[in-house]
Amino acid sequence: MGTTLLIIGYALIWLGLLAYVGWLALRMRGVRAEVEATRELLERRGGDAGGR
Amino acid sequence: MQTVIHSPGERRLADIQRRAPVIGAALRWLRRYGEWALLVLTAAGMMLTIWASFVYAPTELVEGPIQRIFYAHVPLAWNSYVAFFFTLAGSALYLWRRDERWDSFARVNAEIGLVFTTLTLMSGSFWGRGFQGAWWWWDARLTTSLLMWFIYAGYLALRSYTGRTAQGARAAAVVGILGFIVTPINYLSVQWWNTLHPQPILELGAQAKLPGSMVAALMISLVSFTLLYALLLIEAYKLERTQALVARLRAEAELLEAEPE
Repeated sequence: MGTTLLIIGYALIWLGLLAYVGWLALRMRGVRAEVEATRELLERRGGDAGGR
Repeated sequence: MQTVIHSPGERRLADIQRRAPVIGAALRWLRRYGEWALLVLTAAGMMLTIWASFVYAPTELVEGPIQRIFYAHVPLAWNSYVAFFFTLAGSALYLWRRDERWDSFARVNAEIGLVFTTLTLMSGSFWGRGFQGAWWWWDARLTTSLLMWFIYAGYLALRSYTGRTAQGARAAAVVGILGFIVTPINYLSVQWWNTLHPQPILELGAQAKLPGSMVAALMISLVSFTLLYALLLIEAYKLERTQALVARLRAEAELLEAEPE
C-alpha cells in the first residue's frame, strides 16, 4: 500500500512539474507567433508611412 | 576588431570587462551559457535526488516506504515559501518604484509558488493516506496551506481579470503583500497549534532529528528543487517580459493604424 502510494505520488509530482513546463513552452510558442505577427504589422505600418 | 554594442546590458558588461576583465568574462559566459548550465545542473541534481530518495536513504521504520515522499514534499514546500516571499518583495518594489519588471517578477513567482503549493498539498495527501489513513484533515498546517493556495490562486485570477493595466498591477501588488501574512503563519502553525503534521526536522543551530543519510538525501533534493525553481523562474520571467513587450508594441501599432490619414 505504502509503496503504491509512493510511486503514484511521485509520478503525479513529476507529471505536475512536466505539465507546468509544457504549459510554459506552449505559451512561449504562442508569444513567438505573436511577435512575428506584430513585426509584420509594424513593417506594414512602416511601409505605408514610407509610401505616403 | 571592433565590437558592436547593442543593448544597455551589453554596454554595462563591456564597462565591467574594461575595469575587471576576469569578472566581465565570467559574466559574459554566464549570459551566454548560464541557462544551459542551470538546465544541466538541474537535470543532474534531479537524477541524484531520485537515487538519494529511493536508493541511498534508508526506509523509515515507523512510517515505511511512504516516508520517502518527504524528499519531494519538503523541497516543494520550501520553494513555495521562497516564491511567495519573492512575490511579496516584487510587489513592494513595484509599488515603490513603479517599474513593470518588478510586477512581472512578482507575478511569475506567484505562479510558480502556486504550482509548488499544489504539488505540496498533493504529496502531503499521499503521505497522510499512507501513514495516517486519511487523505485530508483540517488541522492548522493543512488548513493554512489550503488558504495560501486560495490566496495566490486569487492573486492570479485577479491578474487575469484586470489584464495588463497599471490599476490591475497595483491591486495585485496589494494582494501580493497582504497575502504573504499567511506564509509565516503556515510555517509556524505546527509549533503554535497541535497538529498531525510532523514537527520541523531541521532547525538552524539545532541537532538534526534524522540519521545522517536521510539529512544528506534531503539536502540533495532541497538543492535540486531550488535549482529547478530558479530555472522555472528565469524561463517564466522571460516569457512574461516578452508578452508584456508584445502587448505594448501591438497597442502602439493599433494606435498607429487607427490614426486618421
